[in-house]
Amino acid sequence: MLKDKARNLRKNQTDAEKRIWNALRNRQIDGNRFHRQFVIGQYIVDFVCREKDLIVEIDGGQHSDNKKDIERTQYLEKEGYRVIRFWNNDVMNNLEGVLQDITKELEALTPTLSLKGEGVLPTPKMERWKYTNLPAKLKKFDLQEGEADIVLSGMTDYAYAFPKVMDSFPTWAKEIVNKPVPGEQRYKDMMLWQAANDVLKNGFILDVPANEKISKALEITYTGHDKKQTTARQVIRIAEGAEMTLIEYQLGAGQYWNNIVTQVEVAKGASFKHYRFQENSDEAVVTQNTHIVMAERADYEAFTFTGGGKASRNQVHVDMMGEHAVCRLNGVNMLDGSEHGDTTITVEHQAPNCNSFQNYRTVVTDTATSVFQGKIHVHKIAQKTDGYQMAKSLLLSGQATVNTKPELEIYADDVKCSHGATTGRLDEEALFYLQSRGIPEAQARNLLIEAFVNEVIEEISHDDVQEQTAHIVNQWLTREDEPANEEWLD
Amino acid sequence: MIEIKNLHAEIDGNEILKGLDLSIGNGEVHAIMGPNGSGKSTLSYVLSGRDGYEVTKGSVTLDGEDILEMSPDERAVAGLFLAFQYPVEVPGVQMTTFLKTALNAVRKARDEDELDAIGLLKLMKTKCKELNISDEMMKRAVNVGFSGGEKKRNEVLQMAMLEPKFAVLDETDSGLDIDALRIVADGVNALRAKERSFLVITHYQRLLDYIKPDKVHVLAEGRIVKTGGPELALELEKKGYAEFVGEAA
Repeated sequence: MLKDKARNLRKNQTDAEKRIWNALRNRQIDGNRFHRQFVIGQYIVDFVCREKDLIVEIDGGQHSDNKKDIERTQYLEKEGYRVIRFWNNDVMNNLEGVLQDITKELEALTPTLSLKGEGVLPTPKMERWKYTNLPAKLKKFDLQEGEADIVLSGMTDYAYAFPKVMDSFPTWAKEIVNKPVPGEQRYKDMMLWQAANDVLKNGFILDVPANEKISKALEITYTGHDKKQTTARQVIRIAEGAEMTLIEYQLGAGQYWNNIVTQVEVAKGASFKHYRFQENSDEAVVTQNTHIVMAERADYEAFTFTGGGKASRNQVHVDMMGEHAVCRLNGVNMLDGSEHGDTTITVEHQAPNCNSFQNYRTVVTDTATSVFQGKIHVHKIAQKTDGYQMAKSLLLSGQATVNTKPELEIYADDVKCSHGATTGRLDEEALFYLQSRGIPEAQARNLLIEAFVNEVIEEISHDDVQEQTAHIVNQWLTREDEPANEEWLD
Repeated sequence: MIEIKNLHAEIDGNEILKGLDLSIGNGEVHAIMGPNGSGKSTLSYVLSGRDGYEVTKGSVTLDGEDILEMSPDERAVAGLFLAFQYPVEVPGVQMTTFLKTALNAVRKARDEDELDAIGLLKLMKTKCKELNISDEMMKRAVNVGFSGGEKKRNEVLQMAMLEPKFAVLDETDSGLDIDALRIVADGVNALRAKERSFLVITHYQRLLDYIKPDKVHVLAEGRIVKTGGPELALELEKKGYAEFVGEAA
């Protein structure tokens, strides 16, 4: 009965409804799909976007503020919908304004970490997700939301577990968390960040006071558990003149999805070393957003090792806001099986005289895929910028894939920026040279692979971490589940 | 010691060696001279087992062992050493790591005790001194940033450490000035021994002033076309290779 009525209403639309429907239909607003005259419970709503749970009602004026309407809105809101109303007049005379409001509402409706539904996950249609099909990677996942298993050790003096309610955050942390999502305006693909805002389950806060120079590292271990979906947030402040080191370990077993958002503020003259070892399960998906804001003379050094995961996305956004800041983003990816590793970096030079360096080495074998997208954006004000980016990849199998996309966007005229990307196979001549000195082929290969990744590992300024990385690389090279297909030379 | 019989080899279907015979006894030094394109470098690569060089006929034995069936590293273990005409740069692999890995791989395969870091360092120091190789050079990656002379000395250093039974020197004189040539030649001469044989491949007679061969062979169009004593090298220096090129064709 109600359905018939809805069908009738669709046929006999008012002019205002027709007008707005023409603007909403066919996903015209940022790909959001709307239905018209849609039955929800005992009501028929004018327009609804089900993926965002947004209802748009057009009022003629005759039934405003009556009791039935209030009940109706209460019911729909209880069902999880957001209801917005416009007057016929508005639609007829100011359609543009109405559509702007709807667009804003849609943007504000942050998706939850649900695996289902469109618009919840970034898709390959989006510029920065072209090479990483996250929905496909998560497709057969059957997960339950839970808290991330996080253990803090080492230098824990200034670290504490995250209060689950944002109201009890310290003011500075609240300010950081409430900042605009970096890159959102430009790319419109930050739903994972927004999801983390929305879900806010757990994480930790690190707050190093001014001039506190700490040599011992804080260590964090994330353990992924089968069938778990977790969201974690890390809020870090290194106050003026302070020095700190953080080492993150990620490991786990089974099928899980960890979505982590990390916000770092490195104050004037402060120094932060940030190391990450991602050795997730081969079935796991890990998505990470890391945002670093650097003040004058701040120093940020990052090294990330990725050696596992069905899919991983390391998205890094650096805002260099003060002069003479130095940032190093380095990493080694070693991917086998059908692993997929994605590193996507944006460095925003927004002050003069800053240096940024990106240096990545990737080794892929079997049918693994790597993605490196690195962007240096030099704003007009950022004169005397020194920006460097190097991404080298080594293909050990004919079925492995490397996608590299370096980007420079420069608006200042007195800068030094360079970037380079290479993809190749093991140097056959070098391999022969080593073999001709009695070194067996497998060992010679490993020497060359180690040499390849060492170019970046030797840049790690923390001796223990450097040693540890070399050890992990060695373990990877001598792993027992050696790929079945022959390693590959031209 | 080394017996090469009726060796035929090709690259991409082009026959380069066309029935080469050569026999070198224990402790002997033989030189092979020949014009460009005669197959000199091909011979060195075939002997050391480089990919892409296909032996279609013939045999090569070292102390009676068939080496053609061996991988390059197995040949090294068996006692073969090739001093490269163009030593390969291996960025990121430190000289010390390289020497230690190579030496211990060979020692292990020969059932000898592996050297520890200190033992290796001692050995390296002694050999470096003999060859006028600086400590600084040893701190660099293999051949990276080495001058032409340094690269060739490095080849001799590796030879000195691996102590092969049979060493092939492929145009070791190319790109060397007289002083560098003398250092390299002295290094080689110091390694001459009763149980060690050498095959010196060269385009010019000059090297043979410093490394005196027992026999000189002329290689042309994939075959040994003439064999003689050291005087043959001098004769070639005067007359050039024209007569052999014609003859073989």
